[in-house]
Amino acid sequence: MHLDGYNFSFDERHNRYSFISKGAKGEITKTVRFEKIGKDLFNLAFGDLDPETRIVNDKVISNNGDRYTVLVTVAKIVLDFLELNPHATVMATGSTASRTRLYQMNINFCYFDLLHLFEIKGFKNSKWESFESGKNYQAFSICLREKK
Amino acid sequence: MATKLVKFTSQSGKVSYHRVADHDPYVEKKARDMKALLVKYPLPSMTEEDIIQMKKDLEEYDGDDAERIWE
Repeated sequence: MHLDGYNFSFDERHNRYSFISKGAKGEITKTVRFEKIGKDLFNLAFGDLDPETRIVNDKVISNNGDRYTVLVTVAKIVLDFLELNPHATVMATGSTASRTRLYQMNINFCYFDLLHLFEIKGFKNSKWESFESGKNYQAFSICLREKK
Repeated sequence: MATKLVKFTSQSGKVSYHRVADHDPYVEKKARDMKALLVKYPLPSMTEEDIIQMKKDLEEYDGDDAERIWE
């Protein structure tokens, strides 16, 4: 992937990732979690790390002026996770429609970089289908393209 | 909320320790939401065991924060 993102760090199991968003509002710790929900299925959770409770907060709108750098970083984290877990499928949906659009924007933004790496499906009208740029989906699944 | 220190390693190999919540209700809720979707609309690659286990997990959850309803 040729786009630049932030440097990120990860825990020993590569289930928790963290990076610092740097922008107009200062430094904000972002976190990405991969929660195991099936044999090779992981659910992605992404948001700001609440400085007090230390839980993920995806309700907050950071407006830190670095949206695309953040989007690229999340895509690179998903790639890192899938390279370490080549049989895994990562599931993602936003907690609200606007957050789901953010995930969609992420995929659209990196679509042509992602296309040769990932097999991406979208959930729409009660069925899973191959992701098409420009369509609105409610949820997404992403796995390495080699996996069928 | 209980927290713990977790070791993180950067892409350049630098080690740091971050405090994280033992249990994250947001992450757990999102997992339940996704299980509710996959039980109703499974991916073709999913196994029967996955679906059975997800149904069991959803049935066993006894909190107030019900999973999302997918249409």
